[in-house]
Amino acid sequence: MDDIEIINQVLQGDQQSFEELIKRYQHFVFTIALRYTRNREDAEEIAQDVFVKAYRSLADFRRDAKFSTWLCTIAMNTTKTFLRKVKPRMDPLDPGTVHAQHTGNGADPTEKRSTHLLVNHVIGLLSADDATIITLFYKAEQSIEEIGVIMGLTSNAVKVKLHRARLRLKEKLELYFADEIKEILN
Amino acid sequence: MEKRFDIEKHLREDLELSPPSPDFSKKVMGAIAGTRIAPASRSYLNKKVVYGTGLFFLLLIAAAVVYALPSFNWSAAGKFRLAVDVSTLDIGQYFNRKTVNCLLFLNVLLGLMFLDKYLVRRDRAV
Repeated sequence: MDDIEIINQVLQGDQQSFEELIKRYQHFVFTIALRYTRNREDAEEIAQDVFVKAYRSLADFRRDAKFSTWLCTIAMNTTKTFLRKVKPRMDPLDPGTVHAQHTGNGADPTEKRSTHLLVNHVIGLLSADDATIITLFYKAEQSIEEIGVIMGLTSNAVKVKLHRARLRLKEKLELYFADEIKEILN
Repeated sequence: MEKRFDIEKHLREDLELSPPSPDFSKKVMGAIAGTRIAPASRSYLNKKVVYGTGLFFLLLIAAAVVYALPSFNWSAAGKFRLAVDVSTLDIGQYFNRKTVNCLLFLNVLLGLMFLDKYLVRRDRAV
């Protein structure tokens, strides 16, 4: 069943169907909130608020965009409003901590080589905007135009920001994980 | 040939989303249990009212401009002359302190009506 069919069911009074939409998009919404707050508790509070707002305004979803784009826009606005009101509880991840987590004592040797872990650790070292733009593009299946709508930017600005975010990610990888990358490539 | 770390490929394949707590969807369903879906804004926003309000403010601006015209020193603009001699128009007769007060009162009234509608709608949504 696609999103629109579920939305129609919810609008007809079947509140339980909304849970399917939550399950489909909770990871996206939670990740966006987490990129900015860097605190799971705050991110979960924001994500919950996003879904409650989306439910209340579901009748206003105009269907000229994807439901995920509409939801991510709400997530972005709610996160920014939250950050204006509440001071984030945690500082950005320290590169040293991330490096220690990745290569620290007792680490599984296979884990050490894992590009999977490497990429996901380094994304935490980027700014919230850079990390979000990369997440939206590579994981949330949002186009450049859709990211522009979500982040309130023009398509050209999104292209430039995405390109720079990729460069910064690569720089951080080479700076903190040069040895691991060499091992992976060899 | 030197191998390169393909960042594009790894972002597509390895980037992960963070999961919230396992009972997240249940928590949200609990939070929305007592709430109702608000009516679509297109159903209660009357376009005639929007256009009417716009027209009212346009007229208000136009009236203020027309009122200001007679007090303008046209001689400073050289030999340019308007087709209508605005200095003969006695707009002040119609656009005086009383009229301005009435318009201001009307604005306040419209503002209060808007606030009332907003609060009623918000209460219904909760």
